[in-house]
Amino acid sequence: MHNGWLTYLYQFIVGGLFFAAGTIYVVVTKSANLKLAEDRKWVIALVAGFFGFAIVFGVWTYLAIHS
Amino acid sequence: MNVMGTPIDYAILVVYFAGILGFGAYFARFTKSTQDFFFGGQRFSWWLIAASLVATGIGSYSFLKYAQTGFTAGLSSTMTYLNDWFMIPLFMFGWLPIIYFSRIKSVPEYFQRRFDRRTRLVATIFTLVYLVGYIGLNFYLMGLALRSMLGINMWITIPVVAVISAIYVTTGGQTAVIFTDLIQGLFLYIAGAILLIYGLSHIGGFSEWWANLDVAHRLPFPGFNRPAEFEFTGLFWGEGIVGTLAFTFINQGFIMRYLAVKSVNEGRKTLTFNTLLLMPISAVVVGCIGWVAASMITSGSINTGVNAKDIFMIVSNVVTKPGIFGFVIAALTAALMSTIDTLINAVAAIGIFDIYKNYIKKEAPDKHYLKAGRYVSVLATLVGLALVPIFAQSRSILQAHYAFVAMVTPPMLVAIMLGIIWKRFTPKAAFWGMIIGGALILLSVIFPQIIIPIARTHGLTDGSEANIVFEAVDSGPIMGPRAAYNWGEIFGADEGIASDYLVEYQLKDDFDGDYNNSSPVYTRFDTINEIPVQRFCAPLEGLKPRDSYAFQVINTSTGEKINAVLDKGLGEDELPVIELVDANTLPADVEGDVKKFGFKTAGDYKYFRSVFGLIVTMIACIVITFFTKPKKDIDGLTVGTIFAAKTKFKGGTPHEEMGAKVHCKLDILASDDELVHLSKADMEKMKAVPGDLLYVADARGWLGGLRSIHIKAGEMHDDEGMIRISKKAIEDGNFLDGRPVKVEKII
Repeated sequence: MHNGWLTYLYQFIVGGLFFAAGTIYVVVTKSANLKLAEDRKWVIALVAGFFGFAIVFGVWTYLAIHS
Repeated sequence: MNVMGTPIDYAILVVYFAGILGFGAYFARFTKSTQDFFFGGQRFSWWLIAASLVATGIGSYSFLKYAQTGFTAGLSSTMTYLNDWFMIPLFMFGWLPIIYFSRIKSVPEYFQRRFDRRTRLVATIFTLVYLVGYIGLNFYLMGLALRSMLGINMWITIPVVAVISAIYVTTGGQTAVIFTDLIQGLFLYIAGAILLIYGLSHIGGFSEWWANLDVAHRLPFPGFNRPAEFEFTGLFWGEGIVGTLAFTFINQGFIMRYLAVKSVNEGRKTLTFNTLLLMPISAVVVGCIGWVAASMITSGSINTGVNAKDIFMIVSNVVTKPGIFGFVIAALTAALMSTIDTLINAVAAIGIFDIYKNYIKKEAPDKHYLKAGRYVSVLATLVGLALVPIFAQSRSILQAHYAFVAMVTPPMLVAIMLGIIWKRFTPKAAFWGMIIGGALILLSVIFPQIIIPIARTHGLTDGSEANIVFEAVDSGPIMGPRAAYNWGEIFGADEGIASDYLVEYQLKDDFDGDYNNSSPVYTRFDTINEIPVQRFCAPLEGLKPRDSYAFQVINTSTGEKINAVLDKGLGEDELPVIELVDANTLPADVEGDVKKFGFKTAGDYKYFRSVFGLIVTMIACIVITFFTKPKKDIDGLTVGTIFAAKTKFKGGTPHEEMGAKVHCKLDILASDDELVHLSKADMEKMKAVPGDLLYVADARGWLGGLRSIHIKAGEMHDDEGMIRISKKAIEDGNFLDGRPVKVEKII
């Protein structure tokens, strides 16, 4: 595996742990109240943003190594 | 000094300065209270704040710094701009609603309300020294940048920019800062687009540019933990985790911008739009010149002997034309002013709320504090200016400021983080944790070896043991020595060989005597900062980390051994090979010709100092907490109690279900009613009831909330599409008579 993938995996696995911990914490403490449509929308946006970054960086890494 | 630019460029610069000054001063009319002066009246739309944050986040030196990083490290220069998302949930649903709903005006104020008065004092001192130092630093760096680009003495440019910034910040406050930053951000993006388009077209297009980049320059992340000054793990922990938290949680200027939005929901939009879209664009804007330059090196468009520190100036002058270059310089200055104005306003806020109002004059009319805030703005500018000659004369003082920032940031951050997520966290633990953490970080500056345990955790070295740095690639082979020592010692920088040719090397055993037929090519050298350094590496088999090697330089065409000195005029077929041989197995017959080199240390893993500070402060805080008593009455100041903050903010039970916005005509009341009155039908559309907090704004969305007000809803009437509002509220909201308004429920 190319080194580029090692950094990619580190970024999104370790970073993902921080992200998941923060998201779960605000939901559990009801700071993000999933019963409210507005808060629900923002939590979905947060998760979508995380995977959006992961996809973009994945494609970028692939193109950097293989094109 | 090499003076660049034409009269057209200078004319553009003058027009730009005059325009910004006039534009900023115009907004003085919207500043009537301290709430306006420091928080823009807390009335603005998300897009306006997001756009203004673009310019705030890009300093004048960002162009030079990231162009240099982009040149040496490639597209991974974007990493510092693109790894914020992991910590966003805690800001979006934690810190932002806490500071907004608790009406916290400064970071130190949180320390008093959550902890105690003396902790606030420590935070105030830390923050002020940090911010005022940064004003001086930004002036100094801008002066250096303009001197390099235009050849103008920095003692002329710095006072001019300082006076212009001080005038519009002092008169217009946060509102002027937001609107001028909007324009300056636009300037920055246009300048970045121009540089990118001109640069790419100079090379021959996107495909050519991409093809000329090696893999390392294309990747989004730098080497895993090499080189020390720009490596992935350090950036991830130091910038992505600690840096993001520091920027979003304790940067007073940044926080004040988020307190200027009309609602928490609007702040979340700002945050999302800024992180997902604007910061990536900013990363391209500041780094693109370096990426173009890296490609131009390969294509031969610019000299390989170019100094990386000058890459922005050189390439922008090469690829642009008269007029365009002036525009780029104006953008560079815009970047400085937009950072400085935010810092000045932030220092003024802390000066007023944490010092003047807290210690000197506790009770006075708001107009008095507004006037004092303006004086503090001027004072902050003058102190910043006074620091410039000190920074210019003594590099050790500059380093001391960097060290101070590194010392105070992690302790403050830990205190805030534990403060918002842990109700048991005590005031004594916060105070002593910050003191102990700061002291240990200071100790780590004096004795860097105490950071080793953390560095080793991540496979790093302290530099003193590792004479030479290797980097693993793919599944096994080890990279060659990578910029870990002074290649000038080998090539003889004194001989002036740091010029426009490339050098390649390989293991002695692999070299078949004919350079042109040899493969693979292992490395390539460029001259950076007048020292030849490696830019491209390929695997070298058989080398082990922490082993020492000797080098031998051989002229490949003649086979003659060359020790350290190469002639400048070597032709393509005479490119030298540096043979790598194990010092312990060096053949006796060549020993005399081999020059053994002492290697420099692996570099300073600066990003890990913040992680170290975070860990030691956290340990101190947690331990002390278990031996001390927690503070009561902290509802609204922790993540789990935000509903209480919302209740206090509104002055009643929050109604969080959101409805639609309604358009209304103004019906001005003769009385000084502090409430507004809408029809029952309009209130139902908004899902609002009397007592709810509403936001009334000029219906023209492009104003971004400049003419608006927060006001509570009173009794309802039956005239749909009509809002009854007092004359005072009309004046406070800067509404224009006859203009329709848009109304929405906030909470």
